[in-house]
Amino acid sequence: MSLLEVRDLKVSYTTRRGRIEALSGVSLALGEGEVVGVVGESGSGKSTLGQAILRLLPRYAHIEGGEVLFQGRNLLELEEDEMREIRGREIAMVFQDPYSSLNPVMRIIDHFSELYEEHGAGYTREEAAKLAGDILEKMGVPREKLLEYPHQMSGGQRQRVAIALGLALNPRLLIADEITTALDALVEAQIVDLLKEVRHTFKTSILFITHNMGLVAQLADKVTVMYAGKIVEFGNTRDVISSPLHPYTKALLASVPRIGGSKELQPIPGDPPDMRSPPPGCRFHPRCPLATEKCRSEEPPLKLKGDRLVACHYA
Amino acid sequence: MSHATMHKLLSLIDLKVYFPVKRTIGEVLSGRRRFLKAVDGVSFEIGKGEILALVGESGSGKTTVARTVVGLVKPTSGKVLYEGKDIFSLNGEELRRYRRRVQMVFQDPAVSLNPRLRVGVQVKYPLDVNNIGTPEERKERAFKALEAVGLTPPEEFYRRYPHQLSGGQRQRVAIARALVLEPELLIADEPISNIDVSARAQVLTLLKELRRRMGLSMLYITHDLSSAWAIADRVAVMYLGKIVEYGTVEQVFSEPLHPYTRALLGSVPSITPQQMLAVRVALKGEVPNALDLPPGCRLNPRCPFASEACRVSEPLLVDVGGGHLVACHLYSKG
Amino acid sequence: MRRPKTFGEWSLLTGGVLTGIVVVLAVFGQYLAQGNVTSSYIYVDSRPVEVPPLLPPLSQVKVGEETRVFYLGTDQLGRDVLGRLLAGARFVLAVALLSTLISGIVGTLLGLISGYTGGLLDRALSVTMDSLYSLPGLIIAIALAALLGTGLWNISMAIAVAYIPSYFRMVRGNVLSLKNMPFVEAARISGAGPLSITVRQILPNTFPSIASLLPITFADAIITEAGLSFLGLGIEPPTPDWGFDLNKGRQFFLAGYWWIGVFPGLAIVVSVLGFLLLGEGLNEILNPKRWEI
Repeated sequence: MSLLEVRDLKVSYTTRRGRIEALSGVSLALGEGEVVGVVGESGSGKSTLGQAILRLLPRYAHIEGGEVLFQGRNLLELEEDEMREIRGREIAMVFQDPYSSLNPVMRIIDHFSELYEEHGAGYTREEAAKLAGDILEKMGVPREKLLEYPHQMSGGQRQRVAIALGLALNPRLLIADEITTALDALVEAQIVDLLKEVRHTFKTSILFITHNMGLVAQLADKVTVMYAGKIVEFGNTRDVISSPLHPYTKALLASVPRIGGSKELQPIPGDPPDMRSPPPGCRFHPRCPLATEKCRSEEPPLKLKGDRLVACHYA
Repeated sequence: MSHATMHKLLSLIDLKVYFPVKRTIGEVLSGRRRFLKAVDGVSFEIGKGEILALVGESGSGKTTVARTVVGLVKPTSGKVLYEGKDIFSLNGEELRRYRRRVQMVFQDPAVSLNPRLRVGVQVKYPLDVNNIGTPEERKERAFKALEAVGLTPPEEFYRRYPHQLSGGQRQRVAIARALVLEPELLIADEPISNIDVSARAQVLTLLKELRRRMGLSMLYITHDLSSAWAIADRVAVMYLGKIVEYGTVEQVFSEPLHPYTRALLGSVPSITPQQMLAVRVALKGEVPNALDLPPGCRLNPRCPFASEACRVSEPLLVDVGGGHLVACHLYSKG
Repeated sequence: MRRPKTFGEWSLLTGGVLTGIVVVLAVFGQYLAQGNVTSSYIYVDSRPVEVPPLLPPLSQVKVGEETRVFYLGTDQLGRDVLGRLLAGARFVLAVALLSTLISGIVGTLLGLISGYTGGLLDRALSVTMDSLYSLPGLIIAIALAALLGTGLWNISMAIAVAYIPSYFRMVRGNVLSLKNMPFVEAARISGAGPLSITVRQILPNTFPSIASLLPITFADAIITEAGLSFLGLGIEPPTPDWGFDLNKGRQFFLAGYWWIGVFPGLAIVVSVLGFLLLGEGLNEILNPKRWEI
């Protein structure tokens, strides 16, 4: 049984300017100890997916269908207090902006104390400080930082603290939503190394959400490619990268410059669709070199091709 | 660093930009001043039709260099010369003419465009401000600029507001606005960091097209080495206000010499398992606070190759052959 | 038009309806009421007929063959209360409009200049405006009205001064946060001077906040004008004015002649409520909260 299974999840947003379909029937599976990358651009729905799993969507979002099975239980059917037990303890999340997880007026040690208290760990102050210090050091942050405030640390350190908080109660699943996007190149590389360590030591499964295929190549066993609220490809990272099947995946990989490679870039024509009225049929068809009449009218289902899932009529 | 055959458009000579920092009471009383040495002795040249990439992480000073070249920031010492003339000694009319020849594209198109004005009005604005041509001519030129960046039909985009466009489209509008005065030098400050991956290639390709068609020179600021590779002729790597390595893109990226350059190249998340670099250099820690610079070479606390010399004296840029310059004691003569 | 969903949309609708009624009555009211507004006589076949005072609402007066109905009664001098209400509306709204426009324009201009220029000028203006802002509007209006005297323009200006600081502070705040935005820097790089930048780049961004403040100022001005006339500092009689009539009606209220004061009072309340709701609704539309997409 998979640790996490998302089945046909549908999420929409109601905005002043109309209804936006953020996720139109998304399914994926994540096993124990696995790292799955979710790659997409703005409008793909990747962040919505992460938030929906933990039911952290804003109030103008609506889950319209589907299931989110965690260890067999459908998270969408749980009461809020049951969800609160899961958040932080079974499933943790780290965000792009560390200030989403860190309270600027609380010391780091207080963040841990609060976390332990909320989940009824029953530690004394000394115990909490020791455990918190241990996990900080595992994340490469000196124990002394426990007494500091978030603004006294660098961006990279803040993110490490956020990850430490996420791992403090040894969750089975860590959702990382664009956690390195706001960081400098060298720091980003350090965090990637850190996650590799985490995976090895803690055996935590990671759902790694990003727009950067290169990061996915470093970390993930499997990768899910999303476009306009749908999954277009899913498979082993190495396979997807070396032989992409979906035209979007191919185009995405080809459009990123590689040092030492060709300087002539191959941009993807057109622009991402307006999610208030996505294109009919295959959502990628306006930008796809292979588009036919069928693509314009019929939505391609996600089909199994070998050990790859692709949503394309011509893959 | 001069290329005898090329006509120098922009020359920076030992540019230093120091920002005074708020002082504590103790410092005020003792009369000490503290400075943030954002740019600490930077020199380079850009010729006509050339693209120079300025690469570095946050705190490297690359954005300050860009802002100084467009005149938003005044240098503490050193010179910025355009066609031989010091831009900070220009008077009103000459300065206005300079402004028309050097334009800038900012990082985040969501804030570099005025949210309450139509796209076309903003693209036309530089022409209005400089009183160029008749109103009809200005509108025509705005249409042409929109077409040049691929926003067709231009009449349609002219009428829209920025919030109705995607990130990539907005950035193209910002480029159109920068182009409408037909500048010779474009300063692009991280033009693709804030837009979608699929739009980045579009914008990069567009910029290269513009160089091909208009002979546009560019100062391309970025922290993303891969895009620097794709677009630039030469690259200068900056760390804490200084240039640590300089050369053509082929020289620096295939034979990186400075430990910082090597660390940067090694950190690029690549989809191919092996990077261009044989050995990845790992630096300890993070970029230090720019107010408390270490003595000697600024990288020494983090550098795995640091020696006594590194802790004592700052290395100067030396030419190791073919115009490839590096500032590191590993390569100093003697 | 779809059914209003949020509080703001309801406000806008209700406010719009109320203010619409008030404005229409003010503009066309003279054709509705054929009553005597400033004199105690009505003319029937060119002959003046005196109207009895203190008639309750819906009283009928037989004049010759006709019967005139005084829907809201007559006041202590036999004047038609309804007529005075409608005529008063025109005056009150005129004053409110004028003072709103004056304070809006002056406050915005000063805020723009002060915010963009900075330095000593900004400091001096800010301090002045802050001091003015700390005084209650009515006090300022009273002081100036006493100085300037009566008349439409003088009263409007006296009231306007009380609201200038609100616009000043708001626009100056906007300018301060906008003047370092990249799009302003881009304008500078194209060679634009301070005048072009403030007017063409920054000012359009302040329109939403100005627009949502205008109805509120309008409502406030109505009250201030009523307050002035209530205290006898407003327009001179016999020009009809709600505040003045409210004051006069106070004296007769206890004697049982409630309609003389209550109707002008109601008129004030309804107009002010209407404009405030309008302002509230406008604010929600023009300044959408951050966390909605």
